[in-house]
Amino acid sequence: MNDDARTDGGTASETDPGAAAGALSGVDGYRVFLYLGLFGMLAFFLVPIESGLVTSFKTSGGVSGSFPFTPPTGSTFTFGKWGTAFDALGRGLVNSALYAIPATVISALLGSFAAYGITQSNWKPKYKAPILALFVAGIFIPYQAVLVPLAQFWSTVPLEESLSFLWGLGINDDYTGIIKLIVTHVAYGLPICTVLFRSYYKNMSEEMIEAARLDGASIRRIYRRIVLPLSGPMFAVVLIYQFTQIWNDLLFTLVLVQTESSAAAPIVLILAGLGTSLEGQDFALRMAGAFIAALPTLAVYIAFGEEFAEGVAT
Amino acid sequence: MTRNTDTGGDSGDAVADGGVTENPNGSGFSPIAALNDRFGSDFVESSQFWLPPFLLVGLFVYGAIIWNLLISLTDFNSFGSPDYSDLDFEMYARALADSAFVDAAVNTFVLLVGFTLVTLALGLGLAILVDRNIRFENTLRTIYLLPMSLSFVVTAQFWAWMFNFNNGVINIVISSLGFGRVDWLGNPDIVLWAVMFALMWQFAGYAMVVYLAGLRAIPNEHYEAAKVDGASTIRMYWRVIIPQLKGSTISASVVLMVFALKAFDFLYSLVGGYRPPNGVDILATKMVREAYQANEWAYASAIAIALFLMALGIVGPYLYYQYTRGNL
Amino acid sequence: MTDQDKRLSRRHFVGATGAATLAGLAGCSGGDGGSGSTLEVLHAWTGGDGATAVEALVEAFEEEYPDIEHEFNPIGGGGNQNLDAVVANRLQNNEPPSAFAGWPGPNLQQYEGVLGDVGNVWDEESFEDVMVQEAVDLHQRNDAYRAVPLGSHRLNCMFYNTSVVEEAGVDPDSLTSVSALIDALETVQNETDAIPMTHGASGTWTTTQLFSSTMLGQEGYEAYMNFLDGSPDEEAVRATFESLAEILGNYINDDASSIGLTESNQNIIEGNAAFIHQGNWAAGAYRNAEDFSYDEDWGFKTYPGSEGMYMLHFDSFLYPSDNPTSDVTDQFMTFVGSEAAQVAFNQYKGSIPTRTDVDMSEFGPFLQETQEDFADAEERPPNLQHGLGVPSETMTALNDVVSSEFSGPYNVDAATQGFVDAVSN
Repeated sequence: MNDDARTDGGTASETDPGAAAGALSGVDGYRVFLYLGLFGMLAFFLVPIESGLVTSFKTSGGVSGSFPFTPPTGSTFTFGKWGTAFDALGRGLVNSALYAIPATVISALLGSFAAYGITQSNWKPKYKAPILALFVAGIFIPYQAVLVPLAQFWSTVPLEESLSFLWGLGINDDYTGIIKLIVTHVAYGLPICTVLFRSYYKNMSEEMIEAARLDGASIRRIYRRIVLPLSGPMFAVVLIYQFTQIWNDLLFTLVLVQTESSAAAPIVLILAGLGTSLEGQDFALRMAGAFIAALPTLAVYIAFGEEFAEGVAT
Repeated sequence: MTRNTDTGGDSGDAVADGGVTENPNGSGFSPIAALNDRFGSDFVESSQFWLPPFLLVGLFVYGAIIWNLLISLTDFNSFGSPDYSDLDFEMYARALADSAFVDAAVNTFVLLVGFTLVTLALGLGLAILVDRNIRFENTLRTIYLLPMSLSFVVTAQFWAWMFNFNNGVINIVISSLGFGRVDWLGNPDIVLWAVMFALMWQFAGYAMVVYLAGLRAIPNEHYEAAKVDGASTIRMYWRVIIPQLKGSTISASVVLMVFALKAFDFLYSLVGGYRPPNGVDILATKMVREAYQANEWAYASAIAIALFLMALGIVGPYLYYQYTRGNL
Repeated sequence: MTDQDKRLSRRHFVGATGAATLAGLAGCSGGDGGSGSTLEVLHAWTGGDGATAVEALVEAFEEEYPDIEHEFNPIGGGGNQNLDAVVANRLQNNEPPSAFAGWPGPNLQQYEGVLGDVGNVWDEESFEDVMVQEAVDLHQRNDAYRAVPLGSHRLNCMFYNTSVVEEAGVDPDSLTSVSALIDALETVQNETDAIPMTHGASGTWTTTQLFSSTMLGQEGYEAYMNFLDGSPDEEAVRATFESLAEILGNYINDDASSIGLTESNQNIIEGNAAFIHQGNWAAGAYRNAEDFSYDEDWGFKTYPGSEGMYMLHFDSFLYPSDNPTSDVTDQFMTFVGSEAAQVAFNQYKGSIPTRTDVDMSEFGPFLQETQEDFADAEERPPNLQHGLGVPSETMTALNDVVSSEFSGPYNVDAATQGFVDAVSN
C-alpha cells in the first residue's frame, strides 16, 4: 500500500506540468508564489488591526463616511476618541497592573517550586505521575467549572473585615476584588507555570545537581544555589506568558469585581462595556480603547516575542 | 547522608519548616522515614517545594470542582447558601429537557471541532510557508503570532468592527465585489462561522509556532530522501512530513479545543453582555448567564459539569497518551 | 433568613469597629464624617438622560436633606445586567445597600426574603392617596410595601419621522389597528426609500416588548392580561406572532439583528425610517438631537389598537431588609416619593411622576401629554418586558424563545408554543 502510493507519487510529479515548469524556470516563479502567500497572510493578520487603528483616529462622521481601512483625512481626524478612551480606561490600567504583576510573579515562583520539587528529587515516578497529571489537567479546566464555588468561597472569606485598616487609609473597599483576583489567578495559573518549568528542569544538566547532593547540600540549598540561578530564561518565558494570560482574562474580573463602575475595575472589564452603552455603538471609541488595553501585552510581546513563542509552544 | 548537618543559612530555614531535619536513618520508628521508604528518599524533604502549590491547586481547582458537583445536585437558586440535605439529579434532567442547553451543547461541539480543524490547517500552511528558507522570517512569524498576545476582549472589538453590517471591512469588500451585504453577527445561521473565523485569526499563529517546532525537529534527511524518490513538494509534505507531525497536531489540538471551550470572553465582549448573538450561545456563555444573570446557581453548576466533562473528554486521552510516552 | 440575620454583616461590623473605619468608608465617597449612616444607593443610570436625571435627583436630595451622608453608586454595563448581578451578590453576601433601583411587581419575586417593609413611609406620606392604584398594588409583595416608585415610562408608544410619513402619504393618527399599521408600512415601503419600521434586535428585549404592545393592540386588554396571569389564549398568542412575523419579515431594516435601540432610533432622527416602536425613553434622543422637535419633525402615536391604554412601567427604589441605614433609608424613600424628587428626576429622564398631584409645568409638551394620558387612561396594563407583568424567570424564558425561534427566520408555531408554555401556570 505504502509502496504503491510512493510509486504513484513519483509518476504523478513527472507528468505534472505545473511542477515541472516550476522546477525548470528555476527558483523565481516558485518564490513569487511563496512570497505572495506569505504577504497575503500578512494582510489577513494585519487588516483587523490596521482597520481598528485608523478607525480609532476618526470622528464619528468619519467612521460612517469613509472606508474602514482608509486613514482619516484632515477633517475627520481626531485624537478625541483616544482621549475619551484613556479617561475611561486609565484607572483600569492601574487596577489591572495591581493584580496582574503580583499574580504573575507569585505564580511563576510557586510554579518553579512545584516543578523543582517534583522533577529534581528522588521519589518514585509512579507516585509523581498522578500529581503531575493533576497539574497538567489543571491547565485545561474550563473556569466555568469552578465559578459558582469560587463565588461561594469568596463570600465566606471575611476579606473586607480583616483588611479594614486599608479602608481606614482611604482606599476604596472595592479593592478587595484585587486581592481576590491575585489569589485566584495564582491558583489557576499555577498548573501551566509548573508544567513549563518542569519541561525545563527535566532537561537540566543533572551532573551538577548530583555533585551537590554528594556534597551533602539540602534540597533547598540546591534550589537556591544551582536551580534558581539557572532558571532565568524559563522565568522570562513564564512571566511573559502568565502576564499576558492574567492581563487578558475577563471572566474572573467579571465574577470577582463585577462592574466597570467599581473603583477597582480592571481594564478588560471596562473595555468590554465601552462604546456599547446607551449612547450607541461608538466604534472609534471601542477601537481606541482596544488599543489602550492591548498596549501592555503588545509591548511585552514585541520586546520578548521569542520567549512568548516559546511559552505558547510548550 | 549528612545532608542536614549542613550549617549554611539553609539549615535554619529547614528546621523552621518542621520535621524535615530529622535523620531519615535514625533508629526507631519515624513517620518521615516510613513515608520516604514508601514514596522515595526525597519525598518528605521535597514536599516543601511541591506540596504548597499542589494544595493550592488541589483546593482551588479540584476542591472547587467537587464542590461544584455538590451544588449541581441541590436546588440552589436564591440568596443565602445551598441546601445540601436534599441532593438529586434534577438539574441534569432539566438540562436535557432544555432545548437551549442542547443547542448550546451542539454549538460548543461544532465550534470546538470546526475551529480546531480550520486553525490547524491554516497554522500548518503558515508553518510550511515560513519553513521554506524565506527572508524576513522573524518579522513574519512575529506578526502571524501577534493576535495571540491580545485579549479576547480586544479581538472582540476588532471583529465586531470587521463584521459590522454597514461599515465593516468584510461587507465593504464583498459588496464592492458585487455581492450583497451579509449580517455576519445577526444571522443565526452564519454567526457561529463568523466567530470561528475570528478565533482562527487569533490562534492560527499559535498553531503555526507549534508546527514550526515540529517541522524543524524532522531530520533533513527525510526531506532529502523524499526528493531523491522524486516526490513533488506537495506530495513530500503529504506523505512524508505531515505524518511525522502527529505529536504537534495532538498537542496543538488539545490547546485549541480548550481555548474554544473558553470562548466566553470573546462572546461576552462582542455584545458587552451575557447573551451572545442568537446562534452562537455556547455552554460557557449559558453557564455564566444562568449563574450571574438568573441566579440559577444549581442549574449553572450542572451546565458547568457538562462543560467540564467535555474538557475531560479531550484532556483525559491526551494525558493518557502523554503517560504512555513517558512524558508524565 | 434567620441565619442571615444572625450572621455578622459587614455593615454591622463597620458599626462596631468605630470611627476609623467609617472615616475611610466615607472618605472614598468624598464625604467626611463619623456617623454610621452613609446612605448607599445603587442604580444603573450611567449615561445620557439617566445620568443627568440622577444628578438632578441627587441635587434635590441634598437640598432637602443636607445632613445625610450619601453615596449614589452607578453600576454600569450591559443595561441593568451588571446592576442586577452586583445587587444579587451583595444580597447573597448579606451586605445589602441602603436601596437599589429596580422594577416592582412580579419582578420582586426574585428577592423573596431579602426585601424589607417600607410600609411606614407609605403610611406617613399617604402615598396611597396620591399614587395611581396600579402603583399601590405593584409595590406590595407578601402584604407589605417593598419599594417606592420614582417615575413611570410608557411602553405602548410608536414614534415616527414626520417628513417620511408625509412623503409616504400616511396619516399616523388614522392607524388604530395593527392591520392598519401593516398597511401603512406597505405604503411606506412602496412610496419611499425609507425603512418602514426600524427595529434594533441585537438584544431580544425589543422584540418581546413589541410582542406585548402588538398583543395589547390587536387582541385587546383582556387577552393580554390573561396572558400575563398565566392563562393565555393560544389563538391570541398565535395571531399576535403572525402579525409580528409579517412586520418583522417584511418591513424592518436589514441590519436589525445586529443593531441596538440607539442605532435603530438614529434611523428615525436621520429620516431613514418611518416608524419605531419603543418605550417613551426613545424620545430622550429626539430631545437631544439638533433641529428635531416634537410635532414638527417627530411625532407620537399610541401603538395602534391600544388607544386609551397606558402600558405601565415603573422606575422604583427597592428596600432591602437588614437595612444598613434604616433610618436614613426611610428618609430617602420618603424623598423618592415626593413631588420634588419626581419632578427633578423625571423631567430629565423623559418619564413622568407616578404621583397624580404634580405640577407638570416644568415638563415639555410631550411629557405633559403623556401625563394626561396616564391620568385619563381607561386601563393601565403592566408591561411584559420590564418586570411588572411576569417574574424574572418567566421573562428570561420568553426571551430565550424569542432568541431561538423569533429572531429571523420567524417560526410562529414554535414561538407561540414557547410563549404559552413559558407563562402558563
